[in-house]
Amino acid sequence: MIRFLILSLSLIGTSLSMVMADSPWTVELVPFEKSDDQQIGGIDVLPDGRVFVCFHQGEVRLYNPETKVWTTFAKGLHEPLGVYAESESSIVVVQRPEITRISDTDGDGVADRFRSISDDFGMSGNYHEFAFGPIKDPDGNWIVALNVASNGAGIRDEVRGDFLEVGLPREDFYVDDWQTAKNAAGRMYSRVAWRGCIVKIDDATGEITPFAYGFRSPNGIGFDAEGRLYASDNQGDWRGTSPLYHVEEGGFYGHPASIPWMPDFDGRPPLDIPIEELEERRTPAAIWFPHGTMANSPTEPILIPEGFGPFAGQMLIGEMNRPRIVRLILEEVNGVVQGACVPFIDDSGLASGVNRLAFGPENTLWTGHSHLSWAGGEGMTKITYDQAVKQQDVSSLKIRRDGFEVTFIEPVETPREITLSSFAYLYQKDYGSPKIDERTEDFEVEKTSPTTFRLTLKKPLREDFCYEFHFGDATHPMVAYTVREIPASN
Amino acid sequence: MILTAGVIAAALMVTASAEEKIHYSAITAVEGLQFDPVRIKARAGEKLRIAFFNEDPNDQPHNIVIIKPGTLEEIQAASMAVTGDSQAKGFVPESEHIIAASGLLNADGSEELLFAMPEEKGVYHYVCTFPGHALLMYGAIYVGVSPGSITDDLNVPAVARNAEKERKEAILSVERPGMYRIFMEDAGPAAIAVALPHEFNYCWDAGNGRLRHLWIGDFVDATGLWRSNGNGFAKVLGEKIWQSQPGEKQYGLQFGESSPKSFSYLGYDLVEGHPLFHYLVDGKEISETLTSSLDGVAWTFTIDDPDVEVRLLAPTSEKASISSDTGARDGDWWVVPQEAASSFTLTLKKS
Repeated sequence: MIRFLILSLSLIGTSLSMVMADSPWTVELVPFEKSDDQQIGGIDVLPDGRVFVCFHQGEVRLYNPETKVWTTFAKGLHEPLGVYAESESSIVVVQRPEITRISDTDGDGVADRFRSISDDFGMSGNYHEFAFGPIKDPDGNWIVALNVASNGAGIRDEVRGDFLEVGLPREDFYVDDWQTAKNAAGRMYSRVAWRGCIVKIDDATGEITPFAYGFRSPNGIGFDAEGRLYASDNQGDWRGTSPLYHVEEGGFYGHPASIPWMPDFDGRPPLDIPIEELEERRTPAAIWFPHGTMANSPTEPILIPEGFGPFAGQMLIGEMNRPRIVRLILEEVNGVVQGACVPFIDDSGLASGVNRLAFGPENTLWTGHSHLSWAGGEGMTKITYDQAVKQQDVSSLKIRRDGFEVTFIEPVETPREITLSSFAYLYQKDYGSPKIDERTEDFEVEKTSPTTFRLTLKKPLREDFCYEFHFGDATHPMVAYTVREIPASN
Repeated sequence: MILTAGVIAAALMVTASAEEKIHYSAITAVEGLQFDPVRIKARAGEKLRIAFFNEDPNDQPHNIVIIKPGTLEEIQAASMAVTGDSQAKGFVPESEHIIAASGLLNADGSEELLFAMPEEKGVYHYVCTFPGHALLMYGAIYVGVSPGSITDDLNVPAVARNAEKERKEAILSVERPGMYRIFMEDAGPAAIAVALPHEFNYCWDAGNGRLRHLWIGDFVDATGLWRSNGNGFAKVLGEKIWQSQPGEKQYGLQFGESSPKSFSYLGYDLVEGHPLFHYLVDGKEISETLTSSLDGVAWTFTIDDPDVEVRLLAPTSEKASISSDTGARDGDWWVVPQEAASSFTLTLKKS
């Protein structure tokens, strides 16, 4: 083995630069009529390759990739933000007020039956109470994420469901001077059922069971290859930077607004609970997405199938604020899921606002774009993989007791510049967090195989810190690993 | 001599203060990654004071960066290239095209910029360079150039250019019969707006199984909702002729004198484009639909095996009449006897 001593974190390598053609992934725009609503809330693909897509203004259209023709399947839904295709004549959609099964019963290609699977959750009428999903668990239940309300607005005169009297009294929501009331409401608040929770919904009875708590704006849920559930969330109050959570039943993921929906709720308004207590209870993020550089608003996580390139079994996740899809490299350490994020496609003809992702037959990835009133984009793209084109990148990054093991796709003779810094984010009520306790890390590099290098840090690893690498050999140099657990051995 | 000198001095002062005259504009970052106003005018070489406010209700940080004519695309691209020190620089890219820039303001923040416009005439831009915002969030400063009609102005974002056009399309795009589940005033949040032929329109509330209001004329203006994240209401166009009373726990139909113990909304079928609503009241299935003729609206119910009289919330209105050959009025309620309640129709007409 060759052992290099890295002095003060960088080394200029002499490796033969690989001849890189274009990216192995080709991004193609799907054509739309100019007047069409092109903000996409949900995508799912039928086995024959046709794609169900739901849109901001309430339409569901079916796209035929062979003929490039769109047909309208349903209209008039209320901000649908997810679709699950059961067949060419039946889909399940999550819209603001309910989870709905939409069917074409007479075979004319247009839906005529709209059945509520469940509308047994609250609506205060606040614009921020989006509903995300659905995904289907192995028992056939629907998993849906219910967003909290934002104090960017109040509540409506009439709400649906019972209004929870905890914290700001309901009548104070109706004062003329909302600017004064808003702070008492909490930046994000949950005053009707299951807001800030991920819930499980029985398909036959419509019964809703809260599954996990403590979410803020979980615009993206998905399973990995082992059936573990993940939810992304957005930087904001109680979110120092945007996180990805590994979601387990009964867990609390840090945003206190939904605590009143937990079975052991003791009546204290969420904002009165001491932060030490919240800190004790919460499960931290499996991945932090460094704000401003990696992702500002991550969306739907999705498993990469075989045949879409060298990352099968890892996950991809969309990002709203820039033309980027991010790749997730997760591992389990001491029973805790944690890992790294790295840009997967940057620009390359992609629009910003990758809100939804779905794989179809022949390893085609479809992306649906949106922005609503935030940063993002519009339209839909089709991404295909060409195995003849090679691209160098980090294929895996694993933590060791005293450092990391990085593996590249293609062999590396001598690594080019590698830099590493570590930092953390605050868990706090305030919006976002600066990077704290940031330092550059010194390390030694040891080659352990043609593609693999061990990085041994001079200083011990820090738990609950993010380690941000820049690998000079990679097409996407920045890789950020979130350390929750440190393995006991190498 | 002394007097003359004084006059000259006074004249010079006037001249100096005229040169120092400062043109004032206020620009606000508003919802939907937009500046308001999206167009301002200035004179070549004059001093411009811009008071910039971030009133975006969505907690987005914003800045305002004044840039030279013809450089918008370059600055938009540069704003996306985030590097390690971008944050420290308030996400203002390095560029010789920048005339002035504010800091990055969080929601409710404000800052004043004072700078001199260059001497060249042309269309300058102001843009938010926070990553991801610049493609949507910019406005134009017209210096010695006429702004022209906003609907044809390629110097402003499409959303501003199309606002008026979109408003018209949003009103006209509904096919009758047609429907939207959408936020409506005078209804709960699970409202459904339905456009019927013959210019009748109604709002039905899936939260409590209740017809909420009826209007004649154009359908709704949903522009505000469709251009944003759904905050606000679809505005009723036309004339409201009938309205039910407020109350979130007030159901539309009950059996006998007592309020429903349970209500469950089941969904709807589209029957020739008309929604046929299905719901359960105290476990009994009810179907309800409205159809129209030139004359008025037929409001029809079928009820699965009613065992007592059915009371329907149907308050009177000065602008509409409610009648039926089945049952009779009792205050705000229309009461249908048990033996006729399995299927009955009320007629709503404009008075």
